[in-house]
Amino acid sequence: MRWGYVIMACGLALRVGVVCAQAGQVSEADVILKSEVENLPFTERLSPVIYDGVTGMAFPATGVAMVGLELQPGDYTLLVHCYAPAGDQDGFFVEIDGRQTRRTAPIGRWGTLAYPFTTEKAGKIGISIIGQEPGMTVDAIAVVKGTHQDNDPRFDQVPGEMKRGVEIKIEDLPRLALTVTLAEKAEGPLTADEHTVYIEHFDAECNGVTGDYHWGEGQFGQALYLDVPDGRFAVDASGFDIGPEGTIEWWVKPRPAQQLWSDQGWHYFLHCRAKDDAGLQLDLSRHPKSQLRLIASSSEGPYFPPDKPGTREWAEMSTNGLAYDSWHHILVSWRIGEQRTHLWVMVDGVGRQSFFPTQHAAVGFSSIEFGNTPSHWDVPYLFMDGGIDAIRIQNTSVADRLAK
Amino acid sequence: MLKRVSIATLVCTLICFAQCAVALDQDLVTRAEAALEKCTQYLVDEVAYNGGYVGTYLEDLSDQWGEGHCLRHQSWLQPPGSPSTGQEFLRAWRATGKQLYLDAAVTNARSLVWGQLECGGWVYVVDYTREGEERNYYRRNAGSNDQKLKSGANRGTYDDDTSQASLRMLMATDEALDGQDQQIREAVMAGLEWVLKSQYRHGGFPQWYPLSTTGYSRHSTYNDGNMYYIMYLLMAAYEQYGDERYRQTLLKLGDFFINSQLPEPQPIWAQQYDEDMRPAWARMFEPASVTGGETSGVMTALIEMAVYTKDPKYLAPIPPALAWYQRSQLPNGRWARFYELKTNKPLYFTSDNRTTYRLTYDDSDMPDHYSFNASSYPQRVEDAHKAITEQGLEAYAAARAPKELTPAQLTARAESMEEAVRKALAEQTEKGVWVRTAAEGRIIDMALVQRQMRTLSDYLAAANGKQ
Repeated sequence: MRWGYVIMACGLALRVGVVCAQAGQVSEADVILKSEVENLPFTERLSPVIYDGVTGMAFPATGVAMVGLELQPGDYTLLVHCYAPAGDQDGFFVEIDGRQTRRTAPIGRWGTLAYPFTTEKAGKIGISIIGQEPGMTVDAIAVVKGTHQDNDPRFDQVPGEMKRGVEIKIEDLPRLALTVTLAEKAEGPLTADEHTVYIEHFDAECNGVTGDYHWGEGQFGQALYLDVPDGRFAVDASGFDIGPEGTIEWWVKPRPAQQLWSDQGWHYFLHCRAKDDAGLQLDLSRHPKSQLRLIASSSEGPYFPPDKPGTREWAEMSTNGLAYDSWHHILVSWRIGEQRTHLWVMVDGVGRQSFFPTQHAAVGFSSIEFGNTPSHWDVPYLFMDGGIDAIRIQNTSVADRLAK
Repeated sequence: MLKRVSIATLVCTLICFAQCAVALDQDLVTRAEAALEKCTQYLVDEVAYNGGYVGTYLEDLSDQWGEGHCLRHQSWLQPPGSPSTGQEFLRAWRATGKQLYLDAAVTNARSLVWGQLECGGWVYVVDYTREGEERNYYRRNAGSNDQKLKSGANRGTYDDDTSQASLRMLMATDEALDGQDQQIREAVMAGLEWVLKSQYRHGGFPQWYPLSTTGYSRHSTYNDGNMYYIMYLLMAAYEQYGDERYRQTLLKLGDFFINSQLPEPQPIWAQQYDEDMRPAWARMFEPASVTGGETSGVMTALIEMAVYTKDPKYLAPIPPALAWYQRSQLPNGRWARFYELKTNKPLYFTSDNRTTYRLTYDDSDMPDHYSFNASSYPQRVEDAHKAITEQGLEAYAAARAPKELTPAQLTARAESMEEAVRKALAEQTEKGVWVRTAAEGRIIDMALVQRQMRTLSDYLAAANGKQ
């Protein structure tokens, strides 16, 4: 009888031990990187703050901390030890190898958020922590082998001393996204210069408008209002010399009651149709999961068929803070180099730059459509529903106009 | 002469009632009374927390749920949650006149007063702990000096009949108490003021009020019957309190029902509208479109408005909407939930993981958590509209009005319910409730409990000669 108890107890202890070992198990050999966030190779605009006796770095909306790692194929998890002082100070982005995820830090307590990811082949990747809601605080990050969950392990359960891993220079990373700002915010009406291939201020009625629309007061004089459900404005771009690089900028004012900048729906702003199947196609749309996203793809269409790994890249930015009753300056830009393709998407002079390995040909566009899903796709309307004004298309990227 | 007739009438009535009473199974009446009492006593003594209830409980009360998991010290307001149980206490009281039931109802009403937000509305769950009290700014704490009690969320919702059901229960209790309970009366008035304030200029109501700065909670939403429940609430409020503002708000809502009908060739309704009364997106799988799903509900509401006001203007939108149904039937004989604006093409979604939705015309790969192919032809609406057209509004409304039953009819009603009552008695647990088996085990399903209580109350009301 007594032996029975002993055996049961041993069995129970063994099970508990196994469970404990499985839960968040990380050996020292599995730790690739373990670092205070302020010691990462690149940080910008972070400020120290103490919560519950732990020093962390508070992120403003434009704050960023980055590290590059060289990893072998396998499953990994990024662990972020973080703290949110309040519910409106908890949002931030994590970007791993150019793929961005929005998360929220635990409110009023320290916690460890986990971001599992997989590398298919050996190579260099960039990892960034990017601010969104000012005040969100990060103490430290770690990258460990294996797939783990939030608080399993907690950061204090990651063994070993702080270590920096194999760091890569940012310029050597194949894929990365950065926060960028224009050196000079566009304020007045856009004017034509030697790089301008198209300009339209809508002060007089023009060709290219289809579906439901009306004319109304714009940011500068008259504007075109594309209405529910099928309003569109199309520009014939077949004669534009804008293959390798270019910039499209215009003003938008979605109908305020629609609250597009935080709406749960999916709304298309721009579609640049490639001249041939190998060429770069650009699509700008807003979706609550992806926020405002500029997608670079081939002419298969970003809408259908479903995502195929490796064929699409993008730059994206949050639009949650934008005012509903104002005009906003939208800028989309691209530059296709031999090794890398750069994308820029900006609103009111602030936005994101993303670069990735070049895989699309610089053949130019046959048409550029504003305000709805492309007219040649058999997919439902995803209307922008609102005003557009002062379009300018140039054959140079925005790179030279960025703040240093 | 008059006196003689009155006496003769009284005698006849008594004889008739006596005959009726003889026909009833008195033993069953006694057992039904005992069962209802036992159920109520158990609910009050063991199940309730601070007078409030949730939707389901494990039979041993070790765990509980509303729409999601709830804690023991929480109540859940959306039907069949706490106020729905309270309404059954009131029904039992009306049927029997016993104080036990009125006391149970008043206790439940007080739990709703406890959980009323400072704005006047309610949210889905009331948490009676201090921590829960800090999470919301309750009306009861409006005069407090403790800032923690005044800094919580203060936005009430119409979603899932939450605030409407709470107000209906408080109004019914207020009526039962002849308005003598000041706390309950004040809560009703605060709640109705919240309703008046929350109406948009176009007559619709947002899902939440005060308005959030962003998101689809600002939209006027037909989904889940939100605005029909407001309509019934306003009708009841005007009938009970006679405040002309309630009637005007109701009429404005009726105008919204009419004005939110989309133009030909799609003269039906969208699921939700923004502040410009244009179809809007809500959740990621609820596009700006017309809906075969909610149109049937709007037409039913229009008939209710026509019957209530005797104004035929509410009927005018119905024929073109029915014609749309007839020409929009799909090859499979059904109707899609969503149709694209202008093209009238059915809209569907595909979803890989419930977080990524793609809008499509293809119905071959729809997620299963939402009905994208839900609606059927609104035959009842067509029948009602036809009956009104043939009979006229006045006659139709008169025919629908509840009729006072004779004692013999009441007895017949009671007798017709005997089988259901015997079944309820047979299935009642030793503790006095009703349970069913679910994935979690044996559960006390409050919807089932309410249904059985209603059976017993309606039976006792008829047996006791009450309408």
